[in-house]
Amino acid sequence: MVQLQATPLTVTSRQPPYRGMPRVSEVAADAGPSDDALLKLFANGEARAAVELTERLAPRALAVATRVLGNRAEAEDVTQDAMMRLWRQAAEWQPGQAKVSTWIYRVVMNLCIDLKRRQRGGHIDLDAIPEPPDPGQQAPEQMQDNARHDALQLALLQLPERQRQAVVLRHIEELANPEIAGIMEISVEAVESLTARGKRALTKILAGRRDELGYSDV
Amino acid sequence: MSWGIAMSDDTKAENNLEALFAEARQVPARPSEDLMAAILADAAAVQSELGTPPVTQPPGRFSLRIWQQFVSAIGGWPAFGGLAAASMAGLWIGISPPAFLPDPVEQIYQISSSEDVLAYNDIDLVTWLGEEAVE
Repeated sequence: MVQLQATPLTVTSRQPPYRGMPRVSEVAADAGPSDDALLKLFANGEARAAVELTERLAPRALAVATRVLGNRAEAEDVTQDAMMRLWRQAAEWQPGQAKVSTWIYRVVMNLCIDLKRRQRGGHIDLDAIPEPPDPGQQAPEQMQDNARHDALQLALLQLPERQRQAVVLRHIEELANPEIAGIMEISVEAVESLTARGKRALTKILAGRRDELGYSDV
Repeated sequence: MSWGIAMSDDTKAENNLEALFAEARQVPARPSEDLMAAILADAAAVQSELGTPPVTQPPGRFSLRIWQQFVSAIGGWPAFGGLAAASMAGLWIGISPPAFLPDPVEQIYQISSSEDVLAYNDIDLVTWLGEEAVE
């Protein structure tokens, strides 16, 4: 697996395709084929299907992995690994059995759990601790935005693993509870319980930082 | 269980948390070009594996593979069944032809024993070739 250099999260618009390859959606007249159809095209050797699937799924996989792991480089490795498993699954994929996006989320979550287990048995990765922003380079509003962002991320990392996964999928990825249940392979009631407990814990963790985060006037 | 203020402000605390979630949703994790390139390279490698037959085959599998290719070439097992049925019908017609068809065995016997066939024995091949050369 390629070791990728860590880069900070950035707010950017969707960029053009990579390495000059056209997107399938540019060829198709409508919104584009389903993930299932793209996966079948991929299995049949269509290279553009890989580009389209990567553009659809990799950002979501990376977002979830970054939130759950708190480490960009590790999240990129997990994303690449999850996509590789998708490519290998393509030839045997049964359309309609599961949503491709649900499947990739599940793989990402499992890879994150595996990674954390391995780390608990070994060393602590210093890269997992978010770096504080440089105050000298930023306007006060930007500093407060970054402080909030980092505060939320640090608070998320203090949650138990399953709570963190459920909260990220529900409140940041905005997935429905039944889909989260499918991803985490638990009941909808268990999802509701995990998210509720996760939110209560986050509120408690963040309680002491209310003024610092700019909520004193709310 | 609030932002360090009274319990009656739980709703405010929850709203503040929702605001943090909303801000987090505004920060998409866009994959770097290196990551996208690495993922697409993996995809290309897997696609090439899917489209390439095994390089080495165990002994004894070759004839099976040829047979499978033959069956596939004629249109699969349904077509193979049709071919087998047609072959059997042809064999049966050859052995026991219907009344309206001439008996091929009898025809062969008649030709080989007729004077027409024997007459060719009298043709001088050298003479015939010589006439062809003159023309």
